[in-house]
Amino acid sequence: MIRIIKQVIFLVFLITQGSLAWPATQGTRPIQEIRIGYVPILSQLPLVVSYEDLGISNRSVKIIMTRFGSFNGLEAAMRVQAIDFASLPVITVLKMKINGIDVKIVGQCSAGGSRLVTRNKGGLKDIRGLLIGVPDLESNENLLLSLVFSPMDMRLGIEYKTIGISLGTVIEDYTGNRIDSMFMPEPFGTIIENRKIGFMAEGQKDVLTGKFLTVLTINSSFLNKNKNIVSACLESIVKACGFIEKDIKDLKAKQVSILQKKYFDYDEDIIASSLENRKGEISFTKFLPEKKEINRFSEEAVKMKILTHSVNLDDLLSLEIMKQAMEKK
Amino acid sequence: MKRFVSGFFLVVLSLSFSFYPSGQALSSETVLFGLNVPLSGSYSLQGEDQLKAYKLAIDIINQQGGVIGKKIVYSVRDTETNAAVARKNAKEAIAEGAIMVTGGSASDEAIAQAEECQAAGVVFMAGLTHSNDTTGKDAHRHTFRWYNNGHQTAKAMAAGLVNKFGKEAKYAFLYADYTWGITLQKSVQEVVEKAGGKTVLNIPTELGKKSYVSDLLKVKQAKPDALVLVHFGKDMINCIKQVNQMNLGKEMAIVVPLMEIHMAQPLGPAIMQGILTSKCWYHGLSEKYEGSKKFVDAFEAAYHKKPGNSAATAWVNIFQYTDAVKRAGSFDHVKVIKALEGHKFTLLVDEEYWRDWDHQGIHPTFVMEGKTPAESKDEWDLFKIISVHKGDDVARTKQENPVKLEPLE
Repeated sequence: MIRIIKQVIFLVFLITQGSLAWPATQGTRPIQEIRIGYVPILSQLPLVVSYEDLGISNRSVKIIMTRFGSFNGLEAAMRVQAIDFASLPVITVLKMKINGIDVKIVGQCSAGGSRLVTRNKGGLKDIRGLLIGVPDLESNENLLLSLVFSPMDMRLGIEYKTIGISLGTVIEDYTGNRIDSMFMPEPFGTIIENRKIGFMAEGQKDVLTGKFLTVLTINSSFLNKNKNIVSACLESIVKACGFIEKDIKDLKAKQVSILQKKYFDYDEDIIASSLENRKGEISFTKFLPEKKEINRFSEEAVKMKILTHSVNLDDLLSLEIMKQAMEKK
Repeated sequence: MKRFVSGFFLVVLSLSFSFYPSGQALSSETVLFGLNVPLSGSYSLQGEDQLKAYKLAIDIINQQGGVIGKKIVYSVRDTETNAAVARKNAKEAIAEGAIMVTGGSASDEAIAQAEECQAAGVVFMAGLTHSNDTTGKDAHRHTFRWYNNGHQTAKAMAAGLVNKFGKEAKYAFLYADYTWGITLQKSVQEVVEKAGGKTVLNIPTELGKKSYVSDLLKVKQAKPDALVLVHFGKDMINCIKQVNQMNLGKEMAIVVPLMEIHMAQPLGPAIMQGILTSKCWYHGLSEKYEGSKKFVDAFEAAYHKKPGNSAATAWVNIFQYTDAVKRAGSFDHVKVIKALEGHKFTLLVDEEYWRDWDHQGIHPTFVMEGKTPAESKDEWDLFKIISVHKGDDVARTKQENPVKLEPLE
C-alpha cells in the first residue's frame, strides 16, 4: 500500500515536472513557420529547389509549400495572408500596394522564361489579327506585348487581342483552338514545340524574352516579425539559383528536371530541354530588381489603366536582406 | 553506493533476376541513383545527415568527371521512417530507372528496400541499418551493408559491460519493437548472460513512442544494476530525457546500445558524460585518419556542422559503389556486385573490406565514453575512444550467420 502511494506521489511529481508532456523531438527551439506559394512554371524553380534544401537543413523553420494553379490564385492568397511569401508578377505587386495591401519586394530569383508561340511560322508582325493567350490581362506578358507592339503600330484590342488563360488549361486552350497564339511562361512553349503544333515567333529574342517578370514578395508584417526566417529563405533561394545554373551547365538540367517532378509534375525531358536551351532566355542569376525596370512596367500599366497611379518604390522595395544573402553566396 | 551515484550511461553505437536495363529512361550521359531516406519521423535527423553526405559525394564525383563517362543524378524520396513507404519508394525509384538505390535509417526500411532491389536486379547500398537481419536472415546478393550490426556492437562491448557492472549484474531492457531493436536487444542480452549477468525486465516499445514514463516506473520497481535502452533517433532522445528527468541514473547505470552524434548533440555533455558507447565511425577519427579528415572537412565546408556515422555510411556507399563501377568498367549489376564482393579498400579508417558471403562491411568498432562538460571543446566534441576492436574479431562467423545469398547469374 505504501509502495502504491509512493508511486502515485512520484507520478504526480512527474506530471507537475512536465515529464509526461515531454515533446516528441528535442524541441528546445520554437518552431517558426513560413507559408510559401508557387505556381508550376520554370521561373519559380528556385522556390522548390530551395525548399528541397532548406526543408531539411533548417529544422527550426517549418516551411509550408502550397501549389496554386494560377497567378490569380497566388495573388488572392497573398492578399488575404493565406501565404506569407511568393514570387509574383511585378504589376500584381504594384496593384496590391495601391490597393493598400502591405507587402514588400525583397528580391527576384529569375528573369525571362516567357515566349510568344504561334501556330504558324512567322515574325512579330504576323501576330496581327490573332488572339493571344497570356497569364492574365494584367500580367507582365500582356504589358510587354503592348510595349513592343505599340511602336509597330499594332494596338491591343484592334490589331491583336489578348485573353487571360489559366496555367492549368494552357495546352487545352491552344490545342482546342480557343487561342491562336500564346505568350506564356515556360514550359508551355516547349510543350507546344515538342508536340510540333507551334513555333516560336521570330524576332522576339531580347525584345519579348529574357525580361524581368516576377519579384519575390512578402507580407510586410511577416517580414517585420520574422527577419531571420526571411533571411534563411533568401539565402537558400540564392543558393538554389546557383544550383540550377550549375545543373544547366554541367548536367544539362537533368537533376533539376528530376527534382521538379514532385512539385510541377512536368515531363523531365521537356524541362531539361527548356532549361538547357534557355527557352525564353530564362536565367537565375539576377537577385536585385532595378527601379528603372519596375518603373517601365509601372508607366505602361498606368497608360493601360491597369494601375491608377505609380507607386513610391522606396516604400515597396526592401532589398537589404537579399543583399546580405548574396554576400553569403 | 558508488555504482549508483555516478550513474553510468552505457551506450553502444552501432546502430529470377528480373534484370532491369541499366539506365532505362535515362539519357546516355547520366545515371540515376535513388536516395531513399527518412526525412520525417523518428529517424529524420539521421536521414537528413545521410542525404547531405549523398549529395556531397555525388557532387564531388560529378566535379571529377563522373563515373566511366557518366554524370550522376539522383531522385530523393522520404521513407517517413516507415518500411511500407520505403518499399513503395524503392519500387518507384527502380521504375524510373535508378541504377542503384541507397538509404534507410531504420533496419526494417532497409530490409524492405533490399527485397525490392533484389527482385529488380538493382544494387542496394544499405544506409544506416544495424539489425543483424540486414546481412543475416534477410541478406540478399544485391545488398551491401557497411554499417556494423547488433552482434558486432554487443561483442565489442561485452568486456566493457562486465568490467563496469560485474559478472552477476542485473539488466533491464527497453527496446524498439522491430527488427533492429529485437536483434540488438537479443545480442546484448546474450553477451551479458553469457558472462553471468541476469535479465530482470524486458519491455518492447513501439517506434515513435512519446512517453516512456510507465515503462520507466516498471524499471524502477525492478531495481536493475543497468538499464539498457535500445532506442534510436528522436525516440532515444525522448527516452533519455525522461530517464534524466526521473533521476534513474542515480539508482542504476544507463546503457544505450546504439548512439549517433545527432542523438547526443541535442542532449549535450552534461547528460552524455560518462556514457559508454561504441561506434563504427566518429568524426573525431579525422584527427587520426586522412580519409576521415577529407570527409569531415568537406562536410563541414558544405554544411557547417560535423557529420555523424549515418553520413559516413552514405559517403562510403557512394564512393564504394562508384569505385566498383570503375573496376567493373560497367554499371551492369552483376559485374558491380562481383567487383564489390571481397573487395578491400581504405576510405575512412585503415583497410576494411566487403565480406563476400554475407556482404557485411568489415571494419573496426570503437568503444567510447561520453566526455564531461569540462573535457568537451564544443557541441560536437562529446566522446573519447577507450578501446578499438578489429572488424573480424567482432563480426559473426559463418557458423553464427549461416546465410546463403542468391546465385548471381
